[in-house]
Amino acid sequence: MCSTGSTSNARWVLGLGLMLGLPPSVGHAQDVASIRRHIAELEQRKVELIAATDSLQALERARRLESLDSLQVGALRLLAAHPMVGVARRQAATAWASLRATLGDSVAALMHQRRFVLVTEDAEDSTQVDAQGVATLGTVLVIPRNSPENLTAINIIVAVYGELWRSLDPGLRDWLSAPLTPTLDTIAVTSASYLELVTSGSPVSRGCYQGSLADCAGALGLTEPDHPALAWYSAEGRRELVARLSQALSAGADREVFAGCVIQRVDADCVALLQQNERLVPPPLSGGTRASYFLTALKLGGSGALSRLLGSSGEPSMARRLELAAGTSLDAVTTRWRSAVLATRPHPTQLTASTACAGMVWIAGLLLLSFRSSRWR
Amino acid sequence: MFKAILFTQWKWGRLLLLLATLAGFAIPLLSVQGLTTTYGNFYVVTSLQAFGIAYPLLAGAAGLLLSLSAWTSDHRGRHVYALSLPVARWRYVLMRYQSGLVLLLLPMLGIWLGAILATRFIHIPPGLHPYASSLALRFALSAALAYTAFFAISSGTPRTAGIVLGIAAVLVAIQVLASAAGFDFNLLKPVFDRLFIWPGPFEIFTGRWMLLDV
Repeated sequence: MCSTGSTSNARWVLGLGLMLGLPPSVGHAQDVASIRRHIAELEQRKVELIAATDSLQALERARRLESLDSLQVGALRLLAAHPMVGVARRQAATAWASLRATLGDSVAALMHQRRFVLVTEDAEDSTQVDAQGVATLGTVLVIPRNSPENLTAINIIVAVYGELWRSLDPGLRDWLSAPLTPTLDTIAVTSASYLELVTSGSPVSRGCYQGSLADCAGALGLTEPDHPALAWYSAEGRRELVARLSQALSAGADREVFAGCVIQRVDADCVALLQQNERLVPPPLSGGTRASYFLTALKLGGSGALSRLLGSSGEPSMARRLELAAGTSLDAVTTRWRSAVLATRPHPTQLTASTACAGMVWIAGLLLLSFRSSRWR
Repeated sequence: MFKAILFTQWKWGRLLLLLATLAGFAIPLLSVQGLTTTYGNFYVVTSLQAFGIAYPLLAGAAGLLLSLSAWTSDHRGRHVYALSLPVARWRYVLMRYQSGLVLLLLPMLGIWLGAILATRFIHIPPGLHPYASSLALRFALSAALAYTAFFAISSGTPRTAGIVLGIAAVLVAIQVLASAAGFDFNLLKPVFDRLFIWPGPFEIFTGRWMLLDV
């Protein structure tokens, strides 16, 4: 509302200024020189009025800033209405710890000159801050009233990941294939990668699981083999890939070749189809797993990792870019990533001895309770 | 006498038991449907996780229904049969309990056979392992725990069962009213946590129930 009022005031001032700027001789014939002079005067007034409007807006911003408390947790800078400050500080600390765990020190560079404004959604609250009005102060995060406290931390993390994704160039986005998934659970990211690595049927993924760093680079799409379909997939994998990409591949393909691959399982047909469409052949490991590798490189590279990565957009090889970001060799990044992934092996289903014993003790206790029942009602 | 009690309990609960056994046999087989692709295993593992909820639910339901059927007849007959028997109360309760426990082996066997068949018919990629016996054992222990808990409640007077159910109902009602009034507190979560998180009695029901796992 304040913002709307401010804009209409500015328009009114501009309109009045233009009217006042009109000479009394409007409507009368004028020579070219006087018209040019009037235009120049009007241009000058327009510049002055825009400057005045900017000053008004700066005053308005300052007034709004006074109604907000600022706080800083790590490199996170936030503005929040006074009643929200306690929650905001706690949740910013949670978000910061999670961001440091996943992005390392590079997150500080990302947050440079960025600020978040926490706004409650409840319009009846007198302390509520107008979301549109404060948009000029920073990235606005709207927190629904009575929402779980950690939603604030999640919103902050989502916003930081959004900033990170926007800062990446098309080459990086293509390699990652999908926006980074923000999460509070830092273990979950690598744990999912473990499951993918261990369940993938691709020979390079299997090789990576068994310890071949070259296979890891291949499975992550960091190397560019002459024939990706042959290097990354087995015959059965190629058939399944063709079946999975059926819509994209069958459009321009010979029906017999397509059927030969998918139905008659002729590997030569699958190879021919995939070699004709090499850009459609994805690396065996998913975008989520590539994202976990990307985050490892950023974390290894420390505070300058992100700027080095973004500054290397001229480099043709993604592997080289990640090396530059991490400030170390690709093998070192791969080793660190692989160790992190293997360390987050999910606990298997097996019944533990402690759980079984506890169950037996509870069974015995409850059975004793049954014995205390009486047949006399 | 045990044979007679076992037979009567089988008669009262055989339909439920057969259904539970069939369900137990079918769940592992259904959970591996689609596990034929080499490259989609990751997604199948996540779908196995989704199926994981079915095992503890079946264990709880089998335990509950069997314990109720064990005591329904006694309650209906005002315990005259139990009073007429020349055995101590505790021996009678123990025989009733043991009969139910023996009958619970049927759904457990269903799960075990289903799980073994399911893991035989599919290609298990290196890195993943079948846990058919472990799953069946965990099911057996969970079902026995649920059976014992409900057996203890059912063996008491209807008043005892009423008090237990009443406390649960009051907790739920307070939570519903508090939420409707806009109070920001969760009464059921701490209760649930005490029951289902270590060292709670029903901890065995939680966690990953996976036929195939890393």
